[in-house]
Amino acid sequence: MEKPKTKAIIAELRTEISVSCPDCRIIKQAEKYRADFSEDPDIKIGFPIDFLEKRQKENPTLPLSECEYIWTGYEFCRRLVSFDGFVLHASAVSYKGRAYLFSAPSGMGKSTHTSIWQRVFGSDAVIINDDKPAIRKIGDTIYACGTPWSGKSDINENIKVPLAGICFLSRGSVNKIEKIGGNLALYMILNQTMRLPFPEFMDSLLSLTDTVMSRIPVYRMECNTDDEAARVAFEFMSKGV
Amino acid sequence: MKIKEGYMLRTVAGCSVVVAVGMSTMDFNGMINLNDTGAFLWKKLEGGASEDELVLAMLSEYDVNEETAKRDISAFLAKLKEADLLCE
Repeated sequence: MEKPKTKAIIAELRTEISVSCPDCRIIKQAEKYRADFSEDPDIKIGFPIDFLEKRQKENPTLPLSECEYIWTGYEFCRRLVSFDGFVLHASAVSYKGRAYLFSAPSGMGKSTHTSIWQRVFGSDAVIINDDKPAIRKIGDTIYACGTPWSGKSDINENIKVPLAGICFLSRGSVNKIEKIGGNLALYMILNQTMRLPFPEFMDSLLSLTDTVMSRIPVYRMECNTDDEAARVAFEFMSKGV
Repeated sequence: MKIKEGYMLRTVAGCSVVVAVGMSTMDFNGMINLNDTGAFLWKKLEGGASEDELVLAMLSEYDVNEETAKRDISAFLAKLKEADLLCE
């Protein structure tokens, strides 16, 4: 029996996802991205059931459908580098036509920070993707794009927004933000994106990182959970200096 | 001495970074940031070089005295050995 295929356009790429588990979260999450296209897909994603069963054995706390959700997400990340894009572990918020990405290791307050943006700036602040936005160069612009893979939350939108900046967060008692560059910025970006031990993949990823770093400012911020955190971040990053 | 198989040096945003590629380096999940001299020495070691050859190369490339060059190269090699990146 042929597996159901979901056709979607994700980060402007024609994507076809073959799903083995009928209850897999990706089917519902991809609703916003559904599209009918007759041309060949740019990206085809699908794993046979025995592959998923092996992954589940390695991760016994996860149901099979969750393994499928996670691995289809990884596969999208892997394929994206062939299309001038990579995924950053970050919470991405869109405000006044630009995207602001807040990155940090898990549990370090990314979603908390962007939820403060929503509290302070209201419905004009939209979460593009709360866990793994795609950064993709389309034409001459670098965009932050929503994807149906947004981690534990289901918060993502099928939009693309020009990227204003990337900020690495850590917790602090006082809100402080500064621009960073060089080795530090490079390390922090690469540390929060998927790296694979394959030369072609890494060549593409590093070349893309070079492009992004040459055009997009990178910051680090110590932040607390006051409303001021969002205002400080926006005021500094919107200047783009 | 030579750098082990499975590492790739690239320049990104003006910085030299080494990442793992190839199945032999599956255990190495990290990245190495190198400064200019580190990158220079790494490139020489990719092709294979003795410690003396590295010193000579550094002296002809950089405006540094022999003692400093020897000391810095020795420290660099020690770090590489510690991270199991060199083969003899």
